[in-house]
Amino acid sequence: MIKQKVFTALGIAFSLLIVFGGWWLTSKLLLRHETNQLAALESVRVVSPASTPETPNGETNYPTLTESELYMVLNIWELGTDEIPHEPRADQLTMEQAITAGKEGLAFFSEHGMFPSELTAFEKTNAYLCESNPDLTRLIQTSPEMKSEDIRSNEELAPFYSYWTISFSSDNVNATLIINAATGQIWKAKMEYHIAAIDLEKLDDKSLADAFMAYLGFDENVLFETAIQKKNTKIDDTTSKLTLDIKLATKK
Amino acid sequence: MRLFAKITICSMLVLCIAVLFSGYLLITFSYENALDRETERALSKYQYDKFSVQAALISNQERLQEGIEANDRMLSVLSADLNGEVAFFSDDKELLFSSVPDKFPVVLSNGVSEKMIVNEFKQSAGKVYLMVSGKIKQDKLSLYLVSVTDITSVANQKEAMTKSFKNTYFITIGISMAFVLILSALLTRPINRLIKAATRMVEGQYRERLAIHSNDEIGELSVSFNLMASAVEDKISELSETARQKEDFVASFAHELKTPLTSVIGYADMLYQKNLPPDETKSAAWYILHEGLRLEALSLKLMDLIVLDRQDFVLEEMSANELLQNILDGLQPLLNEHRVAPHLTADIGYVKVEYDLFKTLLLNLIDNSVKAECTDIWILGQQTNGHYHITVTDNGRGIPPSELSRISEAFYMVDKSRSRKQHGVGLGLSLASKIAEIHGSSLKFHSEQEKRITSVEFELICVGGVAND
Repeated sequence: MIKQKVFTALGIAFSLLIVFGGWWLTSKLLLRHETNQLAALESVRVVSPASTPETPNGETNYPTLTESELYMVLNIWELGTDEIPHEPRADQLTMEQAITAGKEGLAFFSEHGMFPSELTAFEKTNAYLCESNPDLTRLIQTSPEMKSEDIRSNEELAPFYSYWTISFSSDNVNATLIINAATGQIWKAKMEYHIAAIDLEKLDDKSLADAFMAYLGFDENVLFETAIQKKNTKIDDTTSKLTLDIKLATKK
Repeated sequence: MRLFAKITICSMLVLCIAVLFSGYLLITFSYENALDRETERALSKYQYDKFSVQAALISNQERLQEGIEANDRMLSVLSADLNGEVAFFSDDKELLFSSVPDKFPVVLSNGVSEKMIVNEFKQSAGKVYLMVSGKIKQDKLSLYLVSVTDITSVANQKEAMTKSFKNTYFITIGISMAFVLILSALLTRPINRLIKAATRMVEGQYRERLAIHSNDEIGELSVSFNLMASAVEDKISELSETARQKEDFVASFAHELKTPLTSVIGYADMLYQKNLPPDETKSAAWYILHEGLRLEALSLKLMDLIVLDRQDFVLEEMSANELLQNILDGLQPLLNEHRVAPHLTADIGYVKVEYDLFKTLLLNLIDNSVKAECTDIWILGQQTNGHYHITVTDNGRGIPPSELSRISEAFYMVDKSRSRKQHGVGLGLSLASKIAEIHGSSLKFHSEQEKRITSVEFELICVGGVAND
């Protein structure tokens, strides 16, 4: 009887040992796991930016997108998915090329009265290359036959799904241009003026739209159109902010 | 160790392992996910910072290069436009500028190159930082950029999760332990009842039975226990009865032995001590002879009983009617002597018997009838349903109904004085019962003293159906 009680007491002591010992062991394992995780050193290989091939006369030879590709890209961009920055890949514009393309675009806008040429002395230039969420992009362009593992693939998206966001700014103006990373064309532009640099009322939407479509290489198109938005926001009694948005859009 | 303690320990062991393992997996999975998320965020942040620096280098390269060489505030101004904390290292890996607090000394990670971005975790002053290091090269100017992100919140989140899990674990285990203890005590209660009942049986309370409350294994065990207890009780009463019979047998035997010996010793002593006249001497010798015959009969019948218990007999197929007639013919002198008329009516049939034993059986039954002072004995043999049914009926004194159940006990005599006078020792019917048992049957007595009818019935195994002859 006494032996049995001793064994029962030992058993209870053993179960308590399991309870507390188990916790001690788990906390040690958790700590070890944390240490191992934090000790990990990860490397990410950066792809070498490949310049877009140039023609013999020194001009950059940008590819042209088909209407269906253009339509797909615009639809995905308009969804406004989270953007992921990345280094320029093969067949995409380098930052220098993108900035050059941006400056050329501003020159075009100057020609058509949308941007005063005297404001081109910018204090700050910035540029980001992003692409829409790759998984979501694959999902949108998915045909019903596409398998889920293809959607989650690590394969890179086509170069024309990425875009450069180039911003030029000075005290009086902010110009933000969205440039397709493959074609080098400005698909969207937003100009903000803190001075009365242009007269928004005098700008003719129709001629602006036609000029922008011509810049993009379209004459008459049933799929695409130019969307223009003009805004004059009064900040105080003496100052106001002029905003001009122009972008390529799909027809509704 | 008590069973409930074993159940408790095993349950706790399984529960602890399951809870701890699940908790470990949950925390590590959550932590790894959070780190992956933070790493992705830090890589994006680095990429944006790199683009900003690169754009600044493209647009103001000469100014920046001069500024960096002159170690003026150029990098400080540049870092103000970047996200969070950054540090710049020169191409020679010397620290040019750092916006990271002094408590955390930024060091350029190994393996960083123009084509390789390296991210690593650093702990300092109770905080955890994720550093992403890369090289920016724009024309002739190259810089190392280190983007630092404070991810202490992830570590804190993990710590909070671990603390929460610790509380949950101990509360769960504590409550479970109480439940398991109660459950195991409830589960083992029927077993404890079984143990107590078994203990009471050991102490001699053979009437102990268990109440059946369930149909599970314990219920089945209780049923089996009750069956076992009934069997034990029956066996014990059977053994007690056997022991009582043996005691009675020994007492009767001693008494039956002493009575004739007392007479023999008394008369022998009388003959030895005195010179008796011839007729008294003859009378004494007659008594000695009479008692000696009784002793002889006693010893012979005892011998038969012992032999019957120890020997295996082979039953042989015989014609029942011929067998009965044959035995009756052998008994004819005895019956004539006592003026008893036998009447035999027997169906033709074959039975399996041991001849000598069967003859002894009938002899004892007829001898008893003769001793009961009958004038007629009817022996009836009938074949029914595969059995041969034999009835011996006489018109003697009969047996009182209260004695019927005991007349086959050894040394039991209904009228002892009369029986002794007739050289009876009280073993005849006991012997007959034993022989009936050997033939797979039993003796059934029936007596009506007023009508002077006493009958004994028994059955024999009938073989081969009705005989042709």
